Amino acid sequence: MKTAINKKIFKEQFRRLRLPMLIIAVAFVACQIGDAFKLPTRLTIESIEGIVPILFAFPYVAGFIAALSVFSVYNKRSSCDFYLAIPVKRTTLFLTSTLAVAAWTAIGIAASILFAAVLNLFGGFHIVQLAQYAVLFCVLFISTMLVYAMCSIGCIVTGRLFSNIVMSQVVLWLPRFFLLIIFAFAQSNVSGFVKFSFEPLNPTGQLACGLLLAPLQMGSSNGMLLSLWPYIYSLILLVAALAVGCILFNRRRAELAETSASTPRVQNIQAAITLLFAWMILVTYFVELNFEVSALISTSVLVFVWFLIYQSVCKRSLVKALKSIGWYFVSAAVGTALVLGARAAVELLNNVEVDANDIKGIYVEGYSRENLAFGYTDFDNDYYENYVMREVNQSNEITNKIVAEALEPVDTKSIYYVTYQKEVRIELNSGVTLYRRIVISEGDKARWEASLQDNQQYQNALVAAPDMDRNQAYYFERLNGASYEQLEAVYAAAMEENYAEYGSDRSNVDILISKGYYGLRPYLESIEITVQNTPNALNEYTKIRNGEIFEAFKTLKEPIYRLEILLPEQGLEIEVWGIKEFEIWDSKTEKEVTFEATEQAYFELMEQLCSLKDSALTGEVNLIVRVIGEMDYYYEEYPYDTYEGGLYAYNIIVDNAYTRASDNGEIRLCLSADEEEIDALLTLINTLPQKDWDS
Amino acid sequence: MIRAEKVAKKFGDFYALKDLSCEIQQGSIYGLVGANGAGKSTLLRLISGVYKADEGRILIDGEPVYNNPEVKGRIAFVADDVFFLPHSDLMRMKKLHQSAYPSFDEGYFFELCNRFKLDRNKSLSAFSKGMRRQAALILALASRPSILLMDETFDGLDPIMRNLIKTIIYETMVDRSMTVVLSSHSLRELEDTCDQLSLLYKGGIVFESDVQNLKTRMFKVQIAFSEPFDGSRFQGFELINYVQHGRVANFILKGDREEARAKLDAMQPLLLELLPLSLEEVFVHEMDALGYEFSSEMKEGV
Repeated sequence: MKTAINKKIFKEQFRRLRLPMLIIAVAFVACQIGDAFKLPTRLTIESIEGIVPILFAFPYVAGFIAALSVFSVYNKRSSCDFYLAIPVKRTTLFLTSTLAVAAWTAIGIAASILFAAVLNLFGGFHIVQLAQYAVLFCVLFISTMLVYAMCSIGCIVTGRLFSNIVMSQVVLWLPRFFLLIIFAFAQSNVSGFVKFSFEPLNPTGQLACGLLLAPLQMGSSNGMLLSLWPYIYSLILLVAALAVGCILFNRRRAELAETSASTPRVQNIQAAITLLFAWMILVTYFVELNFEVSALISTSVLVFVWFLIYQSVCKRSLVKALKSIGWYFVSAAVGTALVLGARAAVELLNNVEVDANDIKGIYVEGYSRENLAFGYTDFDNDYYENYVMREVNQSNEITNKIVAEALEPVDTKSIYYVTYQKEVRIELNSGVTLYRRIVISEGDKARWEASLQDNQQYQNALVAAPDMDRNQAYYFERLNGASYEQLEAVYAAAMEENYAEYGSDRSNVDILISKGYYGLRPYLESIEITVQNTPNALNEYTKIRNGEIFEAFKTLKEPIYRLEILLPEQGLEIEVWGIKEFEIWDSKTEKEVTFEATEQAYFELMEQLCSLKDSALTGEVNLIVRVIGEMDYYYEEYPYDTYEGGLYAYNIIVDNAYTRASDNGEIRLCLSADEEEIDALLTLINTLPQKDWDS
Repeated sequence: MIRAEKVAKKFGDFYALKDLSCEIQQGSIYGLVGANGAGKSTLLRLISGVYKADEGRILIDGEPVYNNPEVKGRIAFVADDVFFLPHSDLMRMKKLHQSAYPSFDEGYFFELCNRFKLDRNKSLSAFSKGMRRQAALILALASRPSILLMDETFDGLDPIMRNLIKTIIYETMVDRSMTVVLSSHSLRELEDTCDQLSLLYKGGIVFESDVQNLKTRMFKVQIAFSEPFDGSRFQGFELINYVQHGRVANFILKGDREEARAKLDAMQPLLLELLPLSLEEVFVHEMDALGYEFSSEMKEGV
């Protein structure tokens, strides 16, 4: 009797919980059955949450239901008398029940993860996923138990199901909700906090609430799940919540059964607390967005209605509920004070001036190629460059100055479309770390990018993607049907030739997308296969793909709606609009000339192209043909039925080669042409009459 | 021994028990009688450790009972509203009791099930009210407690079952010197079962005595004389409720019966009869003497 856990009571509690917990476990496994029909492949290496997305609702369902199930017996006088009369210490009762919940939680989560693991076995399996499963289990287990512990506090202090439900949610969400309000204030200023240095204060600093909030803030919860702090903090919170719950359970009076609160005053306080959510939102909106007074009044009325309903149900009397109206105003006052106090505190913290010379480290929180150093937030399969960006110190004289100037507070209401803003981590010489969002001008952006080109650490890191395991998944955007073994030579060459350059090269033949693991986090690597930067990879690529496409190209009889001829070395792009016109764009002089085409000229051009050599045979690519099959409805006035012609040509090529179109329906063909052949091509076009747009 | 020392228990502003003290000897059958709301169930819950006293204390053999598993392990409490696990039968409840009470006697459990003729594997939700009370009692007795508390003991039981329960209680007391505390709003139910009775009224014990003493220490007297007389003739006697019609007087007398008879005989009455009172009548007269007012409900119950 002196032990913390009673084995026999545990068996009985475990058995008592089996119905609700089994239903929950089966439901979550059943939700995955749909996925069983689309077996994952190596290409679908998921983020941790992507392993079993539905499972992220498990903590809220299982933890909440478990708390209600365990403590509902104390809501009825007969069952309460029974359990409190048996010779078991209350602490033992509490801990034994908690252990039973923990056992069912582990079973439910393990069953779902195991099911997902079995599904993944069919589609290929990466060793990193084992670690991901372990992470998933830990986070879900801790989150579920945390939800249970906090909901149990709400159930212990009340004696009826209705108030159990309400108070358990209040205990679970109110503290974190208040932190969110603070966080919202911190972020409302463009250069305000993007996160607190003290991790637990961030929305994703606590696992249970972070599971819901992470996707809103970060796009995925990987960042939270693979950080240590949320686990430490959540465990501390879990232990504290269980301790509080145990103490309250020991103090709980049996006579609380079938009543909502131990005394009328406590009941009123509980009712007032439930209103704090609404008051905090209301005051925040009123203060930040100049909420209209009419909206404030109507919302206040709704809050009052809730207060009356809650009190009437709990006190079982409308008259008694009305008599407690004073607490409605007390709650309003407390909520207002909390919000205004938070706002004042945040404004104080935001007023930090930073000197450029005080900065020793600048790390950017996200990146994309298109928006150098100022990209997007972390997604499920983040680009490798983004991981690199966060770890590369971009501090130099230029960036320090830009950041220091950008930290002036700016009112977000005055900025509508801000392109160049990013969240940065700033490390000061004093040891302080600031998380801020900065807005910079076009000119500063260019200067920043230029400084990054010179950042050798960054350049070295970009070409050193971890996990060079050949077994990782990869694919080409415009190619399908080839096996991994066939593409291996292309992949190997591309990984070695991977470069760090910005902007997209239109002469790329294809894009290699590879997926790997950066620690436990999946990443994407995208490498353009181009003439200039990955010649070896291009050569390997054309060996696989080119021949069949070229053969199919040669069979085309009808005019193609549109095709492009790219001459990378010459910097020329020739756009062929069927038999209507040809355009030559010179990227060096940035000039474009349009020529009136004829049917004869078109077919002669096609004949010249078909006479060129297949790059797969020569190993040299200096001319790329882009066949564009998509119909643009602006050109419906063409005399030829170019829609059908274009699609026809396109379909022939697709049907005859294991290829697939990219998103805009184009196919690329690599050819070799010597100087004479290129000259002949250009001569053919240049002899055509030019189109005078002015006339 | 169970001792309550100036115990008070309140619910909100209402005192269910106030300044209550009593002693229940080991091996006795103690009856708590009182109207609805008198505090019987509250006292039983305090003794069983379900409630915690707001003032005073409850001691079992000198030890406090609240949240004390060692003491509670010796107590079995059959509440007025019995509880069983949902969809359970006697066998499942037996397991639960076994897990909680180390002294649970499985053999005795089976024996009691046979004596009460209850199906151990039938769902308890299908039992009648009386059968559910029998089941609860079986589980309580099988736990081999040294203190058995029963609230509204015979509620819902037919006379045969009541006799059976009484028999079993006596057997157990003989075997194991168990202390039994029974509560009821009906004095008739407790009269022939209990050694001691106490009457609760508005949260306190207003009257407490052993049953035998109650029955013999008060009696009705009918007496007549040939000459006129009045109540003053009986000075020296403890009279209650004196009524005289002509030369015949009726009154309740407290004291030793034989002594009283001798003294009254010495007055050479024409007629002298000493009649026993029922326990109900004893209680009513005692309460009258104490000056307590009763609601009709209370009188009906007593």
